[in-house]
Amino acid sequence: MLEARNLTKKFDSLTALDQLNLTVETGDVVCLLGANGAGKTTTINLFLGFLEPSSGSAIVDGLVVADAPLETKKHLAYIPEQVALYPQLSGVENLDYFLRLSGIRKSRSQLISILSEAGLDEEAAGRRASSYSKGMRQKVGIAIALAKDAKALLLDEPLSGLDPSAANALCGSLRQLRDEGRAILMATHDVFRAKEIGTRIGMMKAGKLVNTLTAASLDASEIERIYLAHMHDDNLDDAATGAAA
Amino acid sequence: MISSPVFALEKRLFIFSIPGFAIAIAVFVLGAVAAINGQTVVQRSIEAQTQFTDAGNQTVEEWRDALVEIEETGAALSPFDARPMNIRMPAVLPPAPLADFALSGNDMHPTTTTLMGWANPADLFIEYEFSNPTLSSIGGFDFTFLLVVLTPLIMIAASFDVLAGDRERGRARIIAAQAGHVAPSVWKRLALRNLTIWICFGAITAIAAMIAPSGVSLPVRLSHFVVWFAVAAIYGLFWFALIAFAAAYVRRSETVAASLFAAWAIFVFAVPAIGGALAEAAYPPPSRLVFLSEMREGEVKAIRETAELTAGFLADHPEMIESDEAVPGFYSSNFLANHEAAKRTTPVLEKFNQARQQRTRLISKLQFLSPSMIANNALTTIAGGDIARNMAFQEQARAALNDLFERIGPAVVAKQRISVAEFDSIPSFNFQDRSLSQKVVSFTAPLVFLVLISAVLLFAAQRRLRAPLETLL
Amino acid sequence: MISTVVGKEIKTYLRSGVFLSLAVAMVALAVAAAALSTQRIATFERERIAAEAVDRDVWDGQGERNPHAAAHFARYAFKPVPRLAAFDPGVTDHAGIALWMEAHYQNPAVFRRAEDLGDAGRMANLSPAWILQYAAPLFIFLILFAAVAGEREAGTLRQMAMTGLRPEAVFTAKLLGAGAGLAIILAPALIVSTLMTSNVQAEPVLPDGGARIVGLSIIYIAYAAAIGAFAVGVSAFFEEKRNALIALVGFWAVSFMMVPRLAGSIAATAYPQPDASSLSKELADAASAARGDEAYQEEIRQAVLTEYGVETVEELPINYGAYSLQKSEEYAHPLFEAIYARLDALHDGQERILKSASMVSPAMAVQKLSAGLAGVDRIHQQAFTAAAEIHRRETVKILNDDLKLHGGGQQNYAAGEILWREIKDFTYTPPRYKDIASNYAFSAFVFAFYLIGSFFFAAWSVKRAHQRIAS
Repeated sequence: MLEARNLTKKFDSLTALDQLNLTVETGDVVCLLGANGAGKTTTINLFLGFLEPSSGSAIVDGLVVADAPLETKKHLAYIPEQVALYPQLSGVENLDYFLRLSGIRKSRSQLISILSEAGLDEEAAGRRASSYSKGMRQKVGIAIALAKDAKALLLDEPLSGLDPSAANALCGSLRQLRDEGRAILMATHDVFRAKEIGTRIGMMKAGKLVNTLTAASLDASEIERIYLAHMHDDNLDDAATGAAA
Repeated sequence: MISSPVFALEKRLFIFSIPGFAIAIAVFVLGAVAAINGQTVVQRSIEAQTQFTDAGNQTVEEWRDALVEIEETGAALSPFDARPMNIRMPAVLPPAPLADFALSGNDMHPTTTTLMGWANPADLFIEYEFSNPTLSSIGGFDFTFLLVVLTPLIMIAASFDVLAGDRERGRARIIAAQAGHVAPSVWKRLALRNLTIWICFGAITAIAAMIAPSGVSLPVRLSHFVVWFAVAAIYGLFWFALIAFAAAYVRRSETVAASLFAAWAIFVFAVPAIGGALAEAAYPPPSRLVFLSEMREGEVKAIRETAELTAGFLADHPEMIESDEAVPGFYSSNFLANHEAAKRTTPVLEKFNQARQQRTRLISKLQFLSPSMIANNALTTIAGGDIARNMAFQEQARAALNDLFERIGPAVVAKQRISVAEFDSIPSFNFQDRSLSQKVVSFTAPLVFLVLISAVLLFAAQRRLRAPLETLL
Repeated sequence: MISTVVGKEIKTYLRSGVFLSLAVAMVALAVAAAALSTQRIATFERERIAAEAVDRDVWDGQGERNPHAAAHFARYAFKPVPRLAAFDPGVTDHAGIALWMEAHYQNPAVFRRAEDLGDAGRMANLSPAWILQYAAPLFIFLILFAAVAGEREAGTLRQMAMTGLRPEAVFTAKLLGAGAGLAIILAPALIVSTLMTSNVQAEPVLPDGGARIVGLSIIYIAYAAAIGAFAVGVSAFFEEKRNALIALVGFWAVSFMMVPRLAGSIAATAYPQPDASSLSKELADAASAARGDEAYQEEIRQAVLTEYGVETVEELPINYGAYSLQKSEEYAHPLFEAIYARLDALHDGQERILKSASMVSPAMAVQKLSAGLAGVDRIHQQAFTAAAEIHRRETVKILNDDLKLHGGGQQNYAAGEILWREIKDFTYTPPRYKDIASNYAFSAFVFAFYLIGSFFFAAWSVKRAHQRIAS
């Protein structure tokens, strides 16, 4: 569903993403781990078409994003760290607005039902978004993805700053979406949540995908050890890759 | 404070930064434009007045020489020579010591006239309305405009985000954690930024004040400047207090800026505009047209009752008078006609002036609604660009004309000349301006009010800045 | 899609306390301005009509007089104020409203209302046009500074882009949204002020008032659109809405407040106005110039002697004095014309500088166009004084001719009410706008440039913001 082919992005002399090759299939959850500036958000921005690749291509459902930016967006849902909502509009109105922009019209009861499915109750859905917690905003983000029936979800550090209960709820929603057969690419710093919901874990460093692990084959502490090894010692890159394989 | 870390920070962030330099350059450039413009206008006015007075004095001298000759020889070359009706005394309103600091109030009003038996106090000031109405409607660029309108904007732009910026970026929490409170740092930063602006403004105005236009006494000018700048500083204090108040109470920097800009628009434009319009509606300025109609009715009645038809005609064309005896006759009858017209039109003029004074009194009350109006009135008055000064000139000129009437009247009616001694006893016109202390007294109440308002705002800001950190941050 | 964004924009505006309070302030200000302005203009017109009636009565009732003495007493020309002055007073307060049509003198128009307004009259002038020219842009800037920058800061612009919304659609939607928001504010203000100002109890003065109203409507709608587009462009240009606000208010302060005053001062320095007393003296010299020109006096004397076939003045069947006075009058005409032409050229020069300054101050271009359309600018003032001068010359000639024909050999000839009634009231019809349109071409060009430029700038800026969405 999502594929990066030699995907490279340079900002002047800085290579933010270097020859990334990655595939996220239907029902696959790939979590990208890496320090700040490793290239995780750049990868997501390239799939979203917010950035033009310097070389290579980002492909969504067989379509090259740079060639068909609008068509590819129809298959994508995006949940950033801070789901941006209009504070003057209610949750229902925000959902309705973003869906309409995507060409989708739903009745109010359908919208409430979708929000409820995403974990936001009816009372909260009718309130203005200015009163929402971060977790509630994320739920509206999930609702947008659900309502849009997106084949792939791009999540940019969605768990950052969430309390354990909200993070748990979000993970539950993501697992459900995964089980429904959606492809999910998520950038995160949270190794344990990545292990919990990811099928594969990619480790990025200085714009390169330095390792890819199968989440089920390792426990969280093992993943964290490999991750830290990558972050602190270049020489361990190959060894860690070998160990994972 | 100067050695404090806040000063070191502000040196980098503002005083020696691009925004700081830009503001300093803007103040200096605009100040220089205001100074050059003010000096040019005042200098031009002084030159024109000198020419007018010299020409007038020369005419008076010639007239006196003729009178001396008649007294000495007992005979006149022409029946028109040295007739008291032909005394023409120049009267001018000299530019105030600090006139170049407030140009816009006075450019519509006459500053010269000629006192003579032919003139009527009601239309003593005629034929001065030659200026371009488009330019008059725009107003001039002077230090008062720069201070009242633009300086608050510069102050707001320089300091609106001293607290909100830190709060939004989380720095305020660090400062509070380190120093225990944010208040001292906020006050110091506000003070440093605004002092920088005011030092620039003070420097350029002081330089301008040191350059006195010709004929203006420098010590007198400087004493006016000191008071002018003190009033300016009170106005600056108000804006400083308002900025501190908004910075303390409003959380987001764009909301602080928007609130202060809105307050600026309200004080500088909305209140004066609405106040002026309401005052005009409540006390309409007396109609000049009604005044004109009443004056002409008075004049025509006076002419019909006192002047002979031929004399009326000859008054306009003295060259057509052929006999020596006719000359004092037509002077006499025209003086009487004019005197009668003056008597009839004086009440109209007084009514007109009373209505204007009522309106001025209302506006002086309305100024309490806008610090900008208070500052504008006080600064314009000290600089001598106020309309009241021009009105005083007009009143004094009319009084001088009436005095001239009293002195020459008996001789003119008696168809005689006056003696050289009598002529020499006629005082030349000298405008008596209000003293600086009188001017200061006239706007003490509004300025005290401005200081009180500033104190309340500063106190409220300090209270807020000293509030528990959970409220402030 | 666009309609969805526009709908959202309107909903957001209507739920914003800042927007609603500004809207209320704006409407209140417009209503107050329209009410007070309407009342003013109606009063001006009442006063003018009353003054004209008194002038007629005084003139007719002046009793028996020498016609030339009457020509000196003379009549006044009063300037009618167009109804549209209630909308835009232009230079109404700063231009003379009455002109003394005295024999021998071409006087300037006198009685400028601004002289009686007091010191506060200078800081601001409350009229619907002032509100639209100066206050409305500030309101627009305060409302729209966050139009794009706010969305970018909040992340909703990214969210919108995620839905596949193109930059062109964002630009169009933002502009339409802003337009709808502005319409909510400005439409009631405009409708109320138009209704109030069009109901001024005054005679229609302008011959093409309807066309001028259409012109004014187009100008102000385009002006609001240009300002709105510019605000959206600036909002999209800056990363943070705070900077967009500072930039917009800074632009407003410089372009709308400072530049006009600076330009006015530069104009007054570059083209200094001669001192009133020296101009007055020039006029007096022109008035008596014929008297000092002995060759001319001899020439006209010979001409009239030849015309009547006599050898001495005493033999003439006419009043030679009156003949000579009329000739002196005609002698002065080109001299007056030269003085006033020089003054007009000077004022034209001053206004050329103002026109140039309008390139950095769109409000100045709009002000020029608006005052022209309302019939209250210097060009219309010149038309009034020119018409009054023609009337003065006709009146003085009638009076001098009467004296010339009937005052022959009579030292004490006096005319009466029959002659006074022959002198018609001064009536003035302002020029049609199309006849003087060339005076406004430059301002129209500058305005059109601003209008088109602001749209291009906004489109470019929104596209740029869209491209930088990832940052």
